[in-house]
Order: sequence, then C-alpha cells, then structure tokens
Amino acid sequence: MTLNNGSKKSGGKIYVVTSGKGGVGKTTTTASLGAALALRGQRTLVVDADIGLRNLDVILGLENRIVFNLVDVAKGHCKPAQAIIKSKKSNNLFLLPASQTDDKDVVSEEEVKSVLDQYRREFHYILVDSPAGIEQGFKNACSGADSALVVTTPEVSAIRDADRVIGLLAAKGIEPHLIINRIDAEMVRKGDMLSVKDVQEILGIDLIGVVERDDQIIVAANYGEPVVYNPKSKAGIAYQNIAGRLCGEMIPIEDVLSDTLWGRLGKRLGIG
Amino acid sequence: MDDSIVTAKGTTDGLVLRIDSRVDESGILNGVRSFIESRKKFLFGNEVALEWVGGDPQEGVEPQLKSLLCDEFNMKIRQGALQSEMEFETTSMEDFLPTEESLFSKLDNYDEANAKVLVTTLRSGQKIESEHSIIIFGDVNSGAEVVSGGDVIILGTLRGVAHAGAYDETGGGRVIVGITFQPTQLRIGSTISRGDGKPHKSSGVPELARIDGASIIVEPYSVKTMTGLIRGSV
Repeated sequence: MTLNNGSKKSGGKIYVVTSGKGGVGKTTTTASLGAALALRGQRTLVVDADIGLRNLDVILGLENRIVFNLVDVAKGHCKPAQAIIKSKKSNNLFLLPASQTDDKDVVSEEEVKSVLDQYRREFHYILVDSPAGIEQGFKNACSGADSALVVTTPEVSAIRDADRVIGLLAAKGIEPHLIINRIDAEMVRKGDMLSVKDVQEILGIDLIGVVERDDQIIVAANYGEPVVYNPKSKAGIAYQNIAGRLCGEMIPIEDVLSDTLWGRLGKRLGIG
Repeated sequence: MDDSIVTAKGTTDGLVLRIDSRVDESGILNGVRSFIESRKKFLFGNEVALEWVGGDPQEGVEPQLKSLLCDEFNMKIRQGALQSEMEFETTSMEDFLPTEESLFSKLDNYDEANAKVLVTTLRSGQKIESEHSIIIFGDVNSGAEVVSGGDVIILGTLRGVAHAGAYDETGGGRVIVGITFQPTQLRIGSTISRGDGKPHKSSGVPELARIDGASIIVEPYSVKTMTGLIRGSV
C-alpha cells in the first residue's frame, strides 16, 4: 500500500459525522454508512475521532484486533497502513481506531488533518466519527473534512445542538448535510413528534437522509455487524439510500408517513 | 511624503478625498493607498467623494482609483464632488475628524440610517448586538440572541431571544417585528415576556411585539399600529 500526501483534489472525500449532542446516533451512522458505501464497492475508511471514549470498533466488532490507532499515526509511532483494520464483512471497509488511553488534547487539529490526508489517496470515502460536544475533539474531527453529515433526532434539544454545530461548521467553511435519525412515523402522525418537515424548517440545510427508529440497530450493535447487512431492516435500507445519495445517485427521500397503516390505507383508497 | 498628494476634508455631505492630479498615476495610487492604510479604522468601508486639485486627472487614473477604493478598501464613491481648481493645501486629519462624542450624538439622531442588516440565519449560540436597529433576512433560531438599541425586524421565523430598545429602560417605543413568531423570549427595554411553553400557532401574518402599559403584547403587524406608535427617540 502506497500512501502519499493527498491534496483536496486527488483522492477521496472526507466527511465528518457530527451532531453536537451525544447519543443521537453518530457512531451507528458512521458504521452503517461506511458498510453501505463498502457494499457499493467504494473503498471506505471509517475513523474514530472520539479519543478516550472509542466506540466505533465495538459497533464494527473489531475491538480485539486493534494494535495501533490514530494517535500512533499522528505521532509517527507506526506507518499509516499498519493502523487501519479491515472489517470482518467487507474487503472495502477499514477502521482507523481511536486511542482509548489518551485524551482529546493529545493531538492537534493539524496532526489529525495530516493523518487524514495521508489516507485520502487510498480511499473513495473517509468518514470521521466526531465526539459529542464542540470542544477540541470536535475541532479535531472537523479539521480535515470537506463536508459534514449532521445527525439529529427529532427532539428539540438535539435540534438546538445540531443548529449550533451547523453554525460552527459554516464558520469553518464545511458544507453540512442533514440526517434525521430515529424518526417514528406513528408518533409523527399523532402529532407527538416533530416531522421531517419541521426539523428541516428549523435547520434549513440540505437533507440527505431520514432513518426510522429501528430495534434492529441495537441487535446489530450487539453483534458488531452494521445494520445494512440486514435486508429487512428499515434503518439498513435508509443507510443504503444515504450511501447512494453520497455517490451522486438521485434517490428520493423516503416519505416516512406514507408507510404507516393509515398512510398505506390512504394510498390504497386513493387519497394518500 | 506620500500623504501630501492626498488630503481629506469633512463636508456636510460627508468625507471628501482631495487628490493632486498633477502627480503621475502610480504616485496617486500609492499615495491614496498609504493614506487610507494609515487611517483604515476610520475610512474602511466608508463613503467618500473625490475632488481633484490642479485640474482633471490623466485619462485612466480615475477608474483605477475607483477600483482601488471599492475593491481593496470596501469603500463607496459618492458622485457629484466638485472639480476644483482650489489651491492645494495640506490639512491635518484632526481638523475635520469628528470627535468621538459628536460622532455618537449624530448617530443617535439617525438611528434608522445605521441599521445593521444581516442576510443569514442566526443559529444557536450566535449573538448579534448593535446600538442601532437590526434587520435580519433569515431565521433567528432557538438559542440565538438579537440585542438592539433600536427595533428588531426579522424577515423569517423568530425562535430565539429578541431584545429591542435594549439601552432604554422604557424601551423607547421600540418594536420587534417578525414574519413568524415562536420566540423563547421577547424583551423590550427592561420588560421581558416569555412564551407559554406551548408550540406557538402562527397567525399566518407577520406579527409585531410592543410595550403596552407594563407588559409586552404581540399583535398582527399592520402599518397602522406602527405609525400609531409614539416613537421615543425619533
């Protein structure tokens, strides 16, 4: 494997997956999208930038294969090719794990950027899983990114944090795309949950995907196998579609509401 | 000295740059550049008129000068300055520079003319403050704050905090206007009102918040209400 210093023009695209608020599904999104891109034959690297609180390795079931990590590459303790781990399921998906024993300040923004640039030539897509918050860890994760995937759930607190992050990304000149995660069609229909349209209206950025709440996500995480390998999972299909849109395919955003019982009935009766 | 090529003079119409047209092209451009550079804080982004001392300038000088002022220093050229044959004289900046005090008392009277205009959505954590009115083409999201000594006009949805008449306890008759009101808080002067916590049903028309007695009321915006208000500071 030859690794050169890539420029923005040669090599793959770097996306930072971020949200501001914790627990909205950044890591799951990174793992699932990475797997979905790999399924499309795109050579993909997922990077865990959550130094000290790494999770991405567990979600991908690779925790027992880690030898070197992002910090080792940044400090020159190993070669870039030595630190990445091939996934169990795909020859196209690789993980660059975070260090679990350091903290966020151990690497600088410039160091992370230079690490990512070293991998850029070798991959079509690099997805960087950002830690929650807007401090050093977030800044590090954004440092090499060309674009951002902002994950939010349809809750006011998550939306407000996403809004804050979008403002910070704009200041850095990183273009944000929105993923609305864990939407519940039944609750939206009853008016108990903000709809996709509501969230879009507040945040006002390009929507690239809507992922419905799906218990399969938890099952998949426990087995260390991304949900996209499950053809019956709605969330899995949603991530496949997002991967398609990232690759430039024109896939319409799923209409969550039309999939409820009432939506289906309406369609059948010709009123939907 | 380069500066002697250019002098500045304050007039009732505003600032006038007087430039010696007898100097050659590069001399003029360099002179103007160093003149503005050394007074950047005062001149940057301002409007000036040009006045030529010693006859019309050579062909091609004026367009170059304009692009220098407009592009490099973000200044605007005011038309209609007199071509002058007046004696060339050197004035020092201090002679025409308004003192800090006179500058501000002047601004007070022409508040609306100095409104801050933004074409952006204010997101959570962002705060805009101005002693003058603020006009925003965009939304003010929850967690964002707009603080104005004058009026706040939001051509979008207000979800965050808006404060009008912030430097006057009474609010000075200032108002907050928005296309859609879903505010976290409305403040006018030292009066604060908060939403009822429930999602606000938009009335479908632009709304206006103003002081009425001891509290803030929100009503559909109409020109009538606006003109009927007694404006405190104007």
